[in-house]
Amino acid sequence: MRMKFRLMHLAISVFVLFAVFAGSAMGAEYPDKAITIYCCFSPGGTVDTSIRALSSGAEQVLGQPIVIVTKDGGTGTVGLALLAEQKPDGYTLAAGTSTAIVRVPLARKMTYKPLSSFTDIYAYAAAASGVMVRLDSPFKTFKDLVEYARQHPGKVTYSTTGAGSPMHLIMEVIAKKEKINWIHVPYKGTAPAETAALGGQVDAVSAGDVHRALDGQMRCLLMETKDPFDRLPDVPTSWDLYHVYNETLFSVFGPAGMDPAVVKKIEDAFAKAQEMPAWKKWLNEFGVVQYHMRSAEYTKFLEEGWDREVELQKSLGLITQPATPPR
Amino acid sequence: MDFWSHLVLGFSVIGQPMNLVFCFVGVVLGTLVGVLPGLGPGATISLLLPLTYHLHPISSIIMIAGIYYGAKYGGSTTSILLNIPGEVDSVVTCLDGYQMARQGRAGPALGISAFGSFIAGTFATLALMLVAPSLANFALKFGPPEMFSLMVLALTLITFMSSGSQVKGLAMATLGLFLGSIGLDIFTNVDRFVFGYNFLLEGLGIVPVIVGLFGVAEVLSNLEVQLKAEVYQKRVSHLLPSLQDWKDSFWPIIRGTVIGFFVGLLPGGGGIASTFASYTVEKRLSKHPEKFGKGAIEGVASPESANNATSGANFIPLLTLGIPTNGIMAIIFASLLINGLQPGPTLIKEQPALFWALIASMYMGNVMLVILNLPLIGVWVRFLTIPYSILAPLILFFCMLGAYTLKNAVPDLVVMLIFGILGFLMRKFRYEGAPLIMGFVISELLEGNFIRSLLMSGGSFKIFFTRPISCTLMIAALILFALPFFGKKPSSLGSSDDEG
Repeated sequence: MRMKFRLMHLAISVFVLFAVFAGSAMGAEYPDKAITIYCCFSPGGTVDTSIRALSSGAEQVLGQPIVIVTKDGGTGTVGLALLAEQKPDGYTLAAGTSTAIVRVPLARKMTYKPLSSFTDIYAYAAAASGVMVRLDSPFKTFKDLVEYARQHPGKVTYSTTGAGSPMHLIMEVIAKKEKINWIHVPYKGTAPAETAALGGQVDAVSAGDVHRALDGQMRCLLMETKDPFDRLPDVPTSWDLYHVYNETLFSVFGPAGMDPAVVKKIEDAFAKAQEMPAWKKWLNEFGVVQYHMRSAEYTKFLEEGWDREVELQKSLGLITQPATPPR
Repeated sequence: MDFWSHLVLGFSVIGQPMNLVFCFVGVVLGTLVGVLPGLGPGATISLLLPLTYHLHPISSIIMIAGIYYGAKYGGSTTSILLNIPGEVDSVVTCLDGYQMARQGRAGPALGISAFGSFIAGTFATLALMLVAPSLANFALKFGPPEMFSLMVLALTLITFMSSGSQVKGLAMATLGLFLGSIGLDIFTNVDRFVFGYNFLLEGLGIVPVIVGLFGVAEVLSNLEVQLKAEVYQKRVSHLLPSLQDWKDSFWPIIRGTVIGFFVGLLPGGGGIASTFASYTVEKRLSKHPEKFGKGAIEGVASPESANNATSGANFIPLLTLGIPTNGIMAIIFASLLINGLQPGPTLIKEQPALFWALIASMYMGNVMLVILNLPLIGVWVRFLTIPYSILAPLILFFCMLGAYTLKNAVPDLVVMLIFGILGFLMRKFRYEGAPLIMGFVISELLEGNFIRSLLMSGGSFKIFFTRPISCTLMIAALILFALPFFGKKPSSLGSSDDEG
């Protein structure tokens, strides 16, 4: 009787042990609990609303809830610094931008290594930033603006969301290539920068998105994208004119050392979520470019992007050496 | 005629039971987070943001707006009862509200702040309805030179803030200006006073600073003295403002409403700026400025009206130009976008149901709030009888909760504690917190707009005087600054105003 009981006990123990092992060893079981995504930017912004729109779809594919936790600050580096310390089990991820990998660490020392602390999982959208003027502005084309700046050095002003932002650097690269001089007036945030251009305080705004041109409130003179923006097809791109563009990608990151099978599952889930209505609706409202860049490709993009960015910032005299080692 | 049919449309939308429920839920939630120190409408709205995916856009905007203006009603409660601002905008209310409570006049203080809020909220809604489009461009005319001149004007008013030593008041304002400069400088992309702590790059958060300086410090200094609840209880004779209270508060409420409304139209114009402005204006105009800081009802009525007028006015640039003037408006902006609505010049024309339902909901919400808040006064006053040994840990708990939930960041708790100790020491040595907060708030606006103005003008200071609005503000600041040097001493300025 007692023997039988012991045997049963043993059998149960073995079974439980096996089940535990099987569960943890096989990626096929992922995910068996809720996934947390740190949102590296403040609520209501492009990253925040985009990851929420995507997560509602990804939840359905993965069959587990996704919890969005705001960890904003430091142009998206605060959230990534926290992510770098988490277990690479696929249950803690972060949504942010490539800027926190290839740009911010150049100017300031980070606690993480931009190119080795993370698994770069999936890039789902690219910024569609651009240069806009108010509707009654005398500048009809980007060429007008450049020519006026050439004839009146130091008279053309433009606003951005801050020094060192992609929108600022692109304008400075253009000034360098055109050998002109225009005045950068930084603001704290995109909305005040746009307001300044709308109110005629500055001549133009180099803004993170062009929704004010899409709804007819302003005129877009230049898209800072690689390909022509499908919703403003007649506007020239900075890539065509000056071989420079805003490389900011909105993406999902995990800690370094994640199981490739889990990474694949997450890639698939987000790719599928991009076909769902919640995402389509968001895409339509926010005016960004849709991307489907998977882990391998994205990692390569960031590695090359790092080198490009170091070159660019050195040439503009902004840095002499990156403040953070890449690896 | 168009106008009336629109208003009827608005009320028919808000009249739907579901929308009434959402309006009610919004104002109740708003009152609640307003009462709890630290917890604010910003954190609440962002927590509820995912929910708006599943709601009808009109329902969600009604609810979110309700939280926003509802918080302004609740914010004054803990300011008056416990000397701890429940909301960033209610810092000024502590000055006289708490003193009123100590004199057994907590009821009238809470009452006048509820009525003042109602009057201002209703006025702002009326203005939003009647003149929104024509006022929208006011925000655009306010460029960097105008903002800078306005901040200079604000600086000259700081000396009127403190009830004690003016030198100490100025010292605190200067400390506030300095603390506001911590963080990443957007002009040079260089960090200032960060010392390698990356969380400081964004600057110190205003919520942890206020919660520490007022909440934690208040608890700490109360631990030193044996507080007796009877002190407050003794003379609670009536709960509502008396006729004399009304007489004293009538013009302050009107002036607070007007000031609050115009500040609310400005980019970066939050409620806190309008409350400071209206308080200092009242003190300046008062026949007995020496009573301010010692329980003057005007010092409660005016700022509490101002912050409600501001919250209504904030919607004007948002709905007519698509310009969010502060962080919470930015969240509301995003929630409209999420729901497929593009705030901007065309919104009112294309979405009349939304705009007019929002207007109607603001009328309804304000009525709900005043009905909700008046009976609560009795409850809150009884709150003072809770032994401090129970109240203190509760206050600390909510302070920490508020400081943490803002960004889910532990460093904010550290900031809160440091400012708690600083605030404790300041109380011991009779330095006031309000001028510090004012300096802290205007720091970025002052410096940023100064640099922007000079960038625009190519380094010429003439830009502050060649633009009419800016020039007017500068002259006003100059007069205010020079006034004490002619004739009377600043301390006797107000008391001899009878002839004027």
